[in-house]
Amino acid sequence: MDMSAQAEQRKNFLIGITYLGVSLVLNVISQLMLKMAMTGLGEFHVGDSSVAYIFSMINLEIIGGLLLYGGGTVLWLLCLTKLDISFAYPVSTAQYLLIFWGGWYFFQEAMSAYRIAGLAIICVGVVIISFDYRKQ
Amino acid sequence: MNPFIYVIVSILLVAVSQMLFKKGIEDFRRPAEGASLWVWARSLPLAIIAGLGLNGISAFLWLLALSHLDISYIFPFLSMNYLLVTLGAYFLFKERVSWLRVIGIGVICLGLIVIAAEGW
Repeated sequence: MDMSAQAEQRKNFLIGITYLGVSLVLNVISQLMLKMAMTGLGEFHVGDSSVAYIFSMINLEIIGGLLLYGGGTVLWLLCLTKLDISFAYPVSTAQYLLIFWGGWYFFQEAMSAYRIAGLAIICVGVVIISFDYRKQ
Repeated sequence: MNPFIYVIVSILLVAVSQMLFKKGIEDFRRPAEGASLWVWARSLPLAIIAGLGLNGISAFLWLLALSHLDISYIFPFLSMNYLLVTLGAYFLFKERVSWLRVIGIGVICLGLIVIAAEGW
């Protein structure tokens, strides 16, 4: 591989990992924002059919949260054009850990042994799947 | 009603929308260079539009789930997507599925069962 190809590859990796990082952060922030908004609005069921409640869902936190989520999805797709899936998948499990931390930190959710063990097992599963995408 | 239903239906709808996007993108014919936005919108296959709609419903149900349940409890269930999309790929699109993937999905399901066991 000559020098310029190597530099190109390096540049792609840096751009890709930036997309990936920002995508994960946006996903985590959007989920925590939505959780915060819904905690404020209180419990709601489909059958409740309260028009006032539905309208109260049209607020800055929820619309902002959904837009951030959309932005995170776009950046995820962009990062996949620059990075191998076998690299991006395992790194993306960081969002499970960050959300878990956020639930505990912002919403005083239980850090139960079930959740910790389950999450660790899920991350192992995602890493196994990512080997499927290794270039031969 | 058990609010966990919202989690399940929300995730199912995302998986169905993925299948619709896959079907839609296969049918998609790119409009000619310089086509107007209207022509672009008209050329979108129905499957893609339906998929976008289902994503909207899914987001609404996810919000309802968040109003009832801990986010650290329900968020990991999004990884059920690996199972559902692989099932769809295998049965609907006849894609080859490797043993490695089957094992990985089995491990993910085990993790989800452990988390769900908290509520039993």
